[in-house]
Amino acid sequence: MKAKTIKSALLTIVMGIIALLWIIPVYYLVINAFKPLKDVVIRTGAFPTTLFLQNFIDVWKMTDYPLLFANSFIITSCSVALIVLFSSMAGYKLARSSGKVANLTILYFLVALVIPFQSIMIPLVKLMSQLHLANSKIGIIILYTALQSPMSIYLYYGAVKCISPSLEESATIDGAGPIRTFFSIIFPLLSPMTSTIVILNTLWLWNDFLLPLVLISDATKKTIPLGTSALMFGSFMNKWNLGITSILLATIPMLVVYLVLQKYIVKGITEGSVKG
Amino acid sequence: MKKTSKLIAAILMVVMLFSMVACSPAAPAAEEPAATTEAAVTPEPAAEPMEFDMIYTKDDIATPMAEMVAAFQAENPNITAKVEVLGANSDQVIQSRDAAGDLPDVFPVYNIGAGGLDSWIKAGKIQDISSLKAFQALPQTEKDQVTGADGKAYSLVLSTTAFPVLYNKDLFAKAGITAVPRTFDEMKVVCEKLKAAGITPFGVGAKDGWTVSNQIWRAGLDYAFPKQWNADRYAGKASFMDYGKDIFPYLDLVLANSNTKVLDTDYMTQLALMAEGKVAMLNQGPWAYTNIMGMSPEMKDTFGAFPIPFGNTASRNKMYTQQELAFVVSSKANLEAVDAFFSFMVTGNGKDIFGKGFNVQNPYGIAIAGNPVLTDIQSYIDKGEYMFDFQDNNRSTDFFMVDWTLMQEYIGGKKTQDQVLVAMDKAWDEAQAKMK
Amino acid sequence: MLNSVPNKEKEKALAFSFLKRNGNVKQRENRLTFLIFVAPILLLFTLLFIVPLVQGIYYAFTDWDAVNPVLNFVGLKNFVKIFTIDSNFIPAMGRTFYFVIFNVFLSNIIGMLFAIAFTNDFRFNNIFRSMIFIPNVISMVIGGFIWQFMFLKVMPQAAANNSLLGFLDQSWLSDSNIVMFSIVIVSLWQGLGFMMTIFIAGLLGIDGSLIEAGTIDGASGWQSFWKIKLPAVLPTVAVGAFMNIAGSFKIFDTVFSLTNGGPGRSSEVAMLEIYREAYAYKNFGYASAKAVLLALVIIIFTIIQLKLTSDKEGY
Repeated sequence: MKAKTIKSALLTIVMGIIALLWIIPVYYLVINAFKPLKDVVIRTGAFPTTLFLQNFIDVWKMTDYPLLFANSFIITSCSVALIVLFSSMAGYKLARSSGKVANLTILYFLVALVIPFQSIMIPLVKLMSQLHLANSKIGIIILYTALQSPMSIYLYYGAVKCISPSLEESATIDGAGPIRTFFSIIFPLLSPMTSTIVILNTLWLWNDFLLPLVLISDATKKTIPLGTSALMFGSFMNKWNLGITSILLATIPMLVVYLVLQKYIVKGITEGSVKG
Repeated sequence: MKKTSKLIAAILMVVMLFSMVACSPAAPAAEEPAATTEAAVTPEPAAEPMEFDMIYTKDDIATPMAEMVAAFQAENPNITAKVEVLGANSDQVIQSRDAAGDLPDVFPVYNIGAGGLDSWIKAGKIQDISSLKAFQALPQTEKDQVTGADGKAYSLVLSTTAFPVLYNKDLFAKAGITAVPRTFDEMKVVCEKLKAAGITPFGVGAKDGWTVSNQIWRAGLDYAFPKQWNADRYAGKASFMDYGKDIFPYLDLVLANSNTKVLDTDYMTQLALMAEGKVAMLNQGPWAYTNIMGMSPEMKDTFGAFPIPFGNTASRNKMYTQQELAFVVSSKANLEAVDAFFSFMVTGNGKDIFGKGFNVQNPYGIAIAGNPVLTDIQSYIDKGEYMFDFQDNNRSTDFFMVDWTLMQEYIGGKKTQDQVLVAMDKAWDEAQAKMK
Repeated sequence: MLNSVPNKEKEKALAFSFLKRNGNVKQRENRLTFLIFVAPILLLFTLLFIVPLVQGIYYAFTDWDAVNPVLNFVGLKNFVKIFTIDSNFIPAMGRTFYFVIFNVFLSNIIGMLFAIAFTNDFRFNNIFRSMIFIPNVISMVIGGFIWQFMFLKVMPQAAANNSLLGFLDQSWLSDSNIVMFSIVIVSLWQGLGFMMTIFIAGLLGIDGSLIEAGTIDGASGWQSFWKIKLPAVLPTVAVGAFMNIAGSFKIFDTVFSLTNGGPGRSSEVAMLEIYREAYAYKNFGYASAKAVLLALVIIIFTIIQLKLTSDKEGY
């Protein structure tokens, strides 16, 4: 008992120090959002002397933030929902099949993780416009689903391999069809991985810049990273103070998503061990 | 366990439902504003409705450009103008919009490279603009500069920019310097005086390689290399060794009299040094002044500009200028609308916004307002002591990265002067070989 | 030794269950479910990824300049050029290897250590875990941007104020010997939260009964880790390592925003070189050839890694 408390106290200290080191850069991101440009460049490390809110006002004025937010929200949430649906099913089936076809299929999907995106970009843009999917939110959602699913399939594949097949066997014996078996028995068991996948994909898609950059030119369909990037990395003007501020504004909703969902990973864990 | 899964399932359901609901009605809703503005600008049935879209990268004129577009729309309610500013990734945007068959009607020539212009012409993707009213309004010398042997012109230059030395007048006065240095030896004296007064002469931000390669090396090429050299180099008869050594004395002088750790100093920090009054001079252009004003607006009359004194013959040290706002036109169908907009900007009622808002050196004789750096630059241009950059127009496209990286290696002590020049020759040949 | 017994039994059960399924009707049913579960995403993926990929590979054998619709087939010429006249790509591959080796080893080892630590019960576990994950909330491009501040301003200032931290005063981004390692640091900062999360998810997916059985058998913490947890979590480790290797070879955003390849070319990695070839120099066909080469290298390394881990996993 005593050894256990010492161990947990030690872990608290060690991991606490590491965690603090980890967020130092974030600290600088936050404090610099409250400074004028000159201070951002020269006194980067200094704590803001006054409560300077002009950056937030300027970002709000210079970009149509609510519209950008709505676009980002729609694109991210639709894509993630589709990714989870498609990849959990495919990952499960592939992990439970042992034939050559299944093995080849998983290798086929892995190609996605290997190929640098830049090398398919130009042909992809061409294709998307031929399919009338360029410059459209639905188009980009479909594309995200196609491009991001392989990674999630692979993650689900690994997770399913860790689950004993005896559960579904008994369900099948009870007469449940494969789809019902999957959604009522397997999918719930995969919830830690689902939370992980939802979190990771949400973050990536929310922050993704390149795909919207090359596929969306209509100002009314732009996402947050796209709509605010010119503030940060201009050709002639670098308004770092505004860039940092817009990033902070874009990051806060993601932080909430992470903190909310992260709990479910942990809950899944503790409940799992209680069950054991 | 069950609880968790139910919760997650519930969240997923909500997200999916939400997204499905959001997907369908939100799309038309988002398009509404565009629709209403279009409706608002077409009340006159008499004029034929026209449109064009344009992108530009000079983001420091974003606010006056918006004003310009609004003023143009008010005067020409039948023309829908979609003008958009792009950040540093404009290359990729232009390329992917081309791939999607959705090339903007007007886009900046700066981003498609010098050699690149040829392939756009060959591909038949850009139009002859010599019939545009804005082009017709140019002085003959400017027209000649962009007109090819076949009498066609493809790029419309609205403004030029310069590569001078920016200086802090107050610090010069403090160090007892009464006139700007026009020769290399005078510059040496200026550096000594500034140091004696406890002022660091130069701010250098070599972490962003272009601040050295564009602002010193390229201007240096214009200074040191005769016009014929470029053609000779393409013919394999010339070398960077021929004149390259003439640029290094000035470069070395700057580096010897600069802030510390120049390779750890980026462009913005370089500007901040100037904005704080910590250094007296920068090798930067008018855009730097605009950025510095974003940091220290109270110093608006503190700065001036003079030509880079590479050598000891004052008349050879010229103001180096380069095209800045330059566009190509891809659409034949919308050429008329483009023509209307450009002539509005440079000869019509937009002239005022162009002069006061854009505040750029231009070939149309539109006056510049209240910018001491531009006023100084203009004074040299008026005296004829300037040189329009020719090296840049005639160099293979991939070369700008080469001098950028080599300058950093030179500053870091990885390469000697000779090695830099040899490497430039080698890179030039390699670029030629790659094209074959 | 004892601990591996339940595992083996399970494997037997697994194999047995497949034997049972071998009926003809079952097989057909199985094929149908395979179609329902896998086919939709398979088709979508093929259309939007494989089709453009094939076209991209085709460009590698042409002289396309990305603008002119007319392009010529040049055979293997582009590939020959890479090895004969190109002086930038091979060194860029070398730097990429350097990065991959350090990044993959460090992020797998440290990521696993973090994951093990976090699967223990201690105060603020949740908060600390979130803190380490935070870099993932911020986009990669911005990560590089903040670290510019860290390397250029914060670290030297910290070194100046505290003699104990003197080692922080390095030319992190301007010394060509250090700069690649600085990129590894930023990459670890960004990627460890992800690796750790995957590993935690894997460790938690382990059947509780296995560990309990181990504990009853008197296995100590470390023994139970090596003999039970690690083998059981290997599939997840394999997934993590796989994505890590492929991702490391493709490193771009961090370098682009942190150093843009500098000083000189000392941090110009393969993807950055390819990017410049395609977008700055407009040699699109030639750049595609380089991309194909890079993809081949990644595929080779991935196959090696999959072979190594799947031997241990036994699937």
